[in-house]
Amino acid sequence: MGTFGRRRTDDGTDPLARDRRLIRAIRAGSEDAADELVRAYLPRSYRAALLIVGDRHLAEDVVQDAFERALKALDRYDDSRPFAPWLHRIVANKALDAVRRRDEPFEFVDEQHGDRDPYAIADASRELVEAVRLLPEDRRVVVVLRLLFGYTPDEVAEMLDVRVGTIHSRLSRGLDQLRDQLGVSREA
Amino acid sequence: MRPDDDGALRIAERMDEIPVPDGLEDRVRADARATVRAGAAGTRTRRGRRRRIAILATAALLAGAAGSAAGYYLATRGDDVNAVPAGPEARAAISESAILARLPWLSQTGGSPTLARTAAAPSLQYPPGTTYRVALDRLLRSVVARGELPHGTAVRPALPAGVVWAPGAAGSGPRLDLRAPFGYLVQNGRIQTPTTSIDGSLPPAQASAAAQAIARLRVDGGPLPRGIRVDAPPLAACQVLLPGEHNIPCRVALPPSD
Repeated sequence: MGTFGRRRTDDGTDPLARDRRLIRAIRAGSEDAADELVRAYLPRSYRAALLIVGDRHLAEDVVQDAFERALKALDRYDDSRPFAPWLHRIVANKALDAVRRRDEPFEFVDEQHGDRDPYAIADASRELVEAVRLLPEDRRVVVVLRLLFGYTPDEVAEMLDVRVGTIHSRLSRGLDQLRDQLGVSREA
Repeated sequence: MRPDDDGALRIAERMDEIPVPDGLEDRVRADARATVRAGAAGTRTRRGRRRRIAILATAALLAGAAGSAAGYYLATRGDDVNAVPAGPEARAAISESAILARLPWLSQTGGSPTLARTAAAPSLQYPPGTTYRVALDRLLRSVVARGELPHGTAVRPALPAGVVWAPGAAGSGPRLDLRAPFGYLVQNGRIQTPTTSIDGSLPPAQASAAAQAIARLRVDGGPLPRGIRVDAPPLAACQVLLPGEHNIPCRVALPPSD
């Protein structure tokens, strides 16, 4: 397993044992366990949401919705399987829903809304978010799941219920486009 | 799997450097704690929902016992999946409808969304002469009873952004915006859910029966009972498109939290 394929967690602990313990505690009503689960998964979930929707405020909504949905659906989660892909699929789907539901800017009055910054993030990240936003929606999700979370194409295919060949194709084209946008060569 | 290449690795590292906004973790943690505290996490979801229904039934009985006083607030807001009292079959039909499934006034899980963050929806054209109140009444009754748009109406293109009701010229049926048929708050754009009242002219016993019937709708399904009135919110001038006129967009501000 290579660099991207390794299981990465936000806090560096063994995710499988930790998640199983936390989920059992949450099901028993532990608020502290829910707190710990959020701390463990929030940063990367937010980054994924931001990269997919391209709007900080919308990404915050997405990640809040995703955690709420996940907690409420824990009874349908099979805890013999890893928790992370299950949560990340919810985040990705919530983000895609948000992208699809988003309308063109509403006819608000400019003086009240003209200064709204859709990213409101550091300049270094803004360029990256904008570059990812320019990818077609289907490539964007695949690139994020692969690069940010480190899922293999096989795993991404299972998460999105898409053929693995299609995932390879979307990933290859998405990465090419992203390298061009960011001026990054293969060798970097 | 082998890393794609060094360039991709560099991009991955940049992705991981995106800062998380201040306060977001605190908000999500607070939500998570509240979800667990409310007993809505995991297997406790259904029990929580039943509790809400029981509370609704109690409120309905109290409203009924209060006699014919109008103004009983019916629709749930914010924290419930469905913002209308539709039964299981109607909810299933709604979820399968290409139009209804996406409408933000029917399902508000995270508070009321704003117009700015929801997709435009088609409008619904009614027969000539239909008033706004009647249009809302027919819409809500049809959705609650069958999970469908009302019979005798036609789906038309979206109205100009921000317009809720377009009365139409003579001989032309009025059109209702399906994104926010029950209006939105002009000050922040938040889309409103339907509300109903018990008809003030009903005797106490009938009012009580109507309230109890409403409380059972989410479980048993069925039509909105007679004696329940669908409220028509007052619309600002900018939310109405008069025949032959250009709509002046409402001066909608985003809420402070945005």
